[in-house]
Amino acid sequence: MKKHLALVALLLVPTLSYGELFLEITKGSEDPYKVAMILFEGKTKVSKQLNNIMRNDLIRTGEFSILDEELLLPVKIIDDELVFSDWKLLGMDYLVTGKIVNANNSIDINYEIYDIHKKRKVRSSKVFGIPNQIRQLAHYTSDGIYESITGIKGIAATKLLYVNETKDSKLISSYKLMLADSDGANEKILLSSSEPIISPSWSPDGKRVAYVSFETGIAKVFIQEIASGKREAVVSKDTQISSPSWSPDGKYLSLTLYQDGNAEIYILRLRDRTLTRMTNQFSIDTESSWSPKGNKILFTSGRSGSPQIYELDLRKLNPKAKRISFEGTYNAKASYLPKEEGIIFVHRSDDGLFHIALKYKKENFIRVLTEAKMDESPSVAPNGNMVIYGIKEENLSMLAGFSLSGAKFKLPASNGEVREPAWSNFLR
Amino acid sequence: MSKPINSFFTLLILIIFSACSSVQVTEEAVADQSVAGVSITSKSTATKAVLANAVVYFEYDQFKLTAKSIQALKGVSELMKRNSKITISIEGHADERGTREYNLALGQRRAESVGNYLVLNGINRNRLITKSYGEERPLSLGSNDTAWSKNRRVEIK
Amino acid sequence: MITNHRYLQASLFSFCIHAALFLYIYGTFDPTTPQTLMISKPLQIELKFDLPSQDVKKQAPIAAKVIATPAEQTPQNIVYSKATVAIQTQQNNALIESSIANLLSEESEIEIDKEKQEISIYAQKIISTIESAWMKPRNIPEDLVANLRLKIRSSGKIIGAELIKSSGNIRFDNSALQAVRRVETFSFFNSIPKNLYEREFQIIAISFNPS
Repeated sequence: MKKHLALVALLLVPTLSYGELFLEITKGSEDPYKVAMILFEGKTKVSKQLNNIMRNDLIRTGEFSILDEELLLPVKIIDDELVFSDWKLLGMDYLVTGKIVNANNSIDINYEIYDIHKKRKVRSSKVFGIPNQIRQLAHYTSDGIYESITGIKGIAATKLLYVNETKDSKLISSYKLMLADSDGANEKILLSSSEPIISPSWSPDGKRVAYVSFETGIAKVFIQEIASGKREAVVSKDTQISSPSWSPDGKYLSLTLYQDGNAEIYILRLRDRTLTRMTNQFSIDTESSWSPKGNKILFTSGRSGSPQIYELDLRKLNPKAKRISFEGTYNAKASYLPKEEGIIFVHRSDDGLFHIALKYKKENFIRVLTEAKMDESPSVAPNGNMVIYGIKEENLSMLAGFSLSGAKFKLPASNGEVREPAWSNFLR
Repeated sequence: MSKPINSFFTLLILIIFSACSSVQVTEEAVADQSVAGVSITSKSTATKAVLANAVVYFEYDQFKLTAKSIQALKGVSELMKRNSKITISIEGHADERGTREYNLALGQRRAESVGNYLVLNGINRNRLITKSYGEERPLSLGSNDTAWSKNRRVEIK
Repeated sequence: MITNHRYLQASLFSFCIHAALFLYIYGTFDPTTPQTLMISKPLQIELKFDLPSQDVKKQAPIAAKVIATPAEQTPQNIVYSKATVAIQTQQNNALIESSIANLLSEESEIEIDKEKQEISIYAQKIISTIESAWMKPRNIPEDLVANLRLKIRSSGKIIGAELIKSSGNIRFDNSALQAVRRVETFSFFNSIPKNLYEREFQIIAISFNPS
């Protein structure tokens, strides 16, 4: 009775050049919305590209099943009203139609969404931009469709940060901090270095990134402006610093400092670079991340004898760290879901393998969501419905992702290895 | 409520609502995004290995010194006592399992264990620098126990 | 009175708002019933087929709540379980109140029994129809509950579905609405006697409560 989706693994073949992640959708999910998309008639390169990007955006969410192009019917309009019965017969929930208007230096996408069950139009929208913004135009349109149908804000127009490592013939590594679209396309290099880069972190406005670079010989945190490339070390002292995480209001950076030889959490106020110490005890305290309202911090601490997740309430005068992970002997790199209903983190199961896990606040058990052996670095999409993380397959590190609804996808690097993904906030 | 009044109000509301469209209409401009790339050439100079073979190994998840390590470190501390000008860099590492930042901190704890031992043995603390590379500079590239055990180390240079 | 466009606009706007408010409040009344249950805030919907306890001659309450069916194993080894869907009719209280008056008459008792059985049978059908169309989303917290109100024609066609209590999780709410959309029509409504339909099944509330 349950319907299996006739989803075949889709390979998004990029039409761009060097250095692009490929997107592979390896699994669909149950009960998707069935949508027919009649977009952008004409077989121009642009319309094909837009179509492809949008189909993949929507399929990747795991909540949509897009009708095969061969099965599309012509849109029948009688007396100014769309004829819905044909689409009903095909089992569709929604129909999306769209047109591109290509003017001098602008491109407009006009699209309309029809609810087949209610037999009426529910949305009429326009997205406009310039010709070199084709991908973003497609992503904005996918997000509009996603939002209209699910009521949830879409993430197609968000961006990813990650680290790429390549080795030359002498096996000497070089590292790049990369920026890409949420589907891995449109890669841009933010930083190119011969020394390791780790822990990229987005500023909430999407204009700056923080990361750890070993370029001076030790771990140091830098902030870099995406548009200009301007960068600076966050603390001028020559001391080891790592694990940056931006507060939701963009005014603070939580960090790990090793000043007295032991990893401890500090909060840096960016305005005047004052540092406030948040932990002070003998074990490792690192991997801080902020709650959506900016009043709490999650972090990893070894104080109980093994890495576990703790929570600090910043509003309290003398905040005491509260342990919140109790299953297993290794729980680390936690971050909140955007409505704070739970956390996503790395969990080592009894067989010694590392997976990405989810724990809802009001439940006292964890849900393991991934299956490979050394899953790491989860980052949650801003709508809380998808997670991207690092996996290792056949000795190569690559990125993988899943939606909470069950869809899975992979982003293998086109060159070398990729890891340490960070998902941006909403950018539109 | 009597029927006539009901239907009158219903009619009125319908008239009003038919004027207010229930189709969501939006317009959006795609935001501009420029990206600048930066290239770094490393400013770090490789420290000369004063003590060529001084590598100390650790157990999984541990930063305690093993008996074997202590033996090796005895040699180091003696060398340093004999030559009071020597300063050393103690670099901690971890194998690839687990999260990168936790491994960075673990590497640092391992380096600290070595440093603390030397200090306890009479070496002045300002003759040593401790740092960590976490899992970023593995000696051995495999994903198996042999490779991992080689990577859980502290190098003294 | 000065004719002033802005004034007219404002008063029209104000009228629209008042009309909308009125319609909203009006919409919570069922005009065909004498009962006074006003839904002014999200309902805690529970089963209300129990008869009042004074009546010891009554049989055990007819259950309209369905125990969750066992989980199904999918080829990918991911298990999901079907929901428990509970149903409540709006007429419970009125029915109970009016039935108390007839308690003393044996004949009425039998009639009421028969009718309760009928209601239960149709309620069961509604539940199983919706259950087979409902796909509970994965990886949601337990203890989620979403309640919908459905307006149904005598032909069984669902003409309105409204979320009256959100579970707090949009995907869960969406899945409940989607299940109802997929069902569209309860084909067996034709066999419901007209007055029973009007009293019990014209407007129903459904609780999606998998735990």
